[in-house]
This record gives sequence, C-alpha cells and structure tokens, in this order.
Amino acid sequence: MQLRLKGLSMLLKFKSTKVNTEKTQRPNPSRVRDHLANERTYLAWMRTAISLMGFGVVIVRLRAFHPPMLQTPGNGWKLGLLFSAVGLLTVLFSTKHYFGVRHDIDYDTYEPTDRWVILFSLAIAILGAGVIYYMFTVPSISFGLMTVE
Amino acid sequence: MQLSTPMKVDEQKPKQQNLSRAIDRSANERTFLAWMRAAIALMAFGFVIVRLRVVQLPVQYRHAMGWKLGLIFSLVGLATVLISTVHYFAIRHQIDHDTYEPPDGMVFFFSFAVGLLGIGVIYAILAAALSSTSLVIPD
Repeated sequence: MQLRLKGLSMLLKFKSTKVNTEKTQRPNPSRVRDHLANERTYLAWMRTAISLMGFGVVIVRLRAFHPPMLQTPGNGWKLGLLFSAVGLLTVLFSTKHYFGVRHDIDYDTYEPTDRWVILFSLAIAILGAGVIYYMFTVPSISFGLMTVE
Repeated sequence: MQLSTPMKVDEQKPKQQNLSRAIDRSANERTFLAWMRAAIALMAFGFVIVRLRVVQLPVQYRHAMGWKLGLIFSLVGLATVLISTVHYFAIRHQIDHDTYEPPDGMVFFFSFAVGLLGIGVIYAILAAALSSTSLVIPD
C-alpha cells in the first residue's frame, strides 16, 4: 500500500513529503494547525469539484427531458460535460496542491500562489457565461416545462 | 515573550502548550467538519441524481444514466463519514501525544474515489448524449 502510494506520487510528480526525523524538535509551533488548515483547504477544493460534477449531471438531466418532444439533441449536454471536466481537473490539481503545500509546511517554504485561483475563477466565469448563454437560447416552451417540475 | 527570564519561561511554557493544544484540537474538529461537509455534498448529489432521474425521464431513457451513479456517490459519502470519524479520533490522540503526521493515504483515497466518480459522470453524460442522438436521428 505504502509502496503503491509512493509509486503513484512519483508518477504524478508530487513533491516528497517525507519528514526528516531529526526535525522532531519542531521549530514551527503551529505545524499541526498549518497541516490541518491545509487539509481543510484541500477539502474545500474537493467540495467545489463535487459541486461542479453534480451540477454538470443536473444540467444534463434537465436537458435530457427535451429530446423526445423537440427532436433535437441540443447542446446542453456539452455544457454539462464541460462542468464535469472542470470538476475532474479540480480534483487532480487540488490533490497535487495539497501535497505541494504539505511539503512546504514541513520545510517552512510556503508561498501563497495566485495562479490556481486566477485560473479557477477564469474557468468558472467561462462556465457561468455558458450557463447564461444556454438560458437565453433554449426555447421558452422548455422553460415552461422545467418550471412545472 | 522570548525575551523574558528563564524562570518566567518555565512557568509560562506549560500554559502555552496547553493553549496551543486547544487550538490544535479545535483545528482538528474544523477539519473533521470539513470532511463531513464533503461527505454531505457527495450524498446530496447522489440523491439529486437519482431524484431528477426518476421524476423527469421518460421510460425509454431510464437505462441511459443510472441510479447506480447516484448510489455510488452516496456510498462514497457514507464511507467518507466513517473513515473521517475514525481519522478524527486518531488525530486527536496524535495531538495529545505530540506525534502528529499529516495524512496522505486518506487524501489519495478520497481524490481517487472522487476522480473515479468524475470519470463516471463524464462517461454517463457522453453515453446519454450519444444514445439520445442515436435515438433521435432515426426518427
């Protein structure tokens, strides 16, 4: 199990998180708190990813209601697919980020990164634009059917 | 605080350690609650998937995207509840005995499970889209 995890982390190019044993002196008194906060940040990213994937399914579910009566497959499933893909990427990046920050906390080299935040808000903004576009391009009859439910 | 005399440091140290231990414990509890929120999100979306499916889909589409996906979401959420509860008590013990090590296996496992769910979602969306087009085009 441990070996497989090590192989996996090597495969994904995670930084090594081995703590050297002579550092048990613990120069950083807030080490435990920092690690726990890192874990919470990871979980918050994962929750976001789960929401994205769930929302992707919901879009497709609502969309799948139309084909029998409108006779067109439509584009709604593409939007749902995009949501789910962004969610899946978020899972990967947040795991990588968690192990990177974990390494940084143990070696006191933590630097906050703006890159992921900017990238992520860009992705969500694009998705939001897609949702708005989709809302104004679906025929109004389907809206009537959706609001009944 | 560091500039105080050794005597003062001596009497201040246990207090400080206690304080830091309390902060660590509440941080552990917050982390546990974050795990719980993640599990609740998983279970809620499992429920939403199943629910939308049952209410909205006409009969011939019922095979397309499964209640199985919703069930797996909920099961992963339930497993997360159990594992993170055990994890919480383990970390509490480690904080009390000053042997804390950040988790890795659990995080890997959770990412793996949610990643598999994401692949399942994408597969299901593609399958539903392709099957609906193939059903619509002959009509």
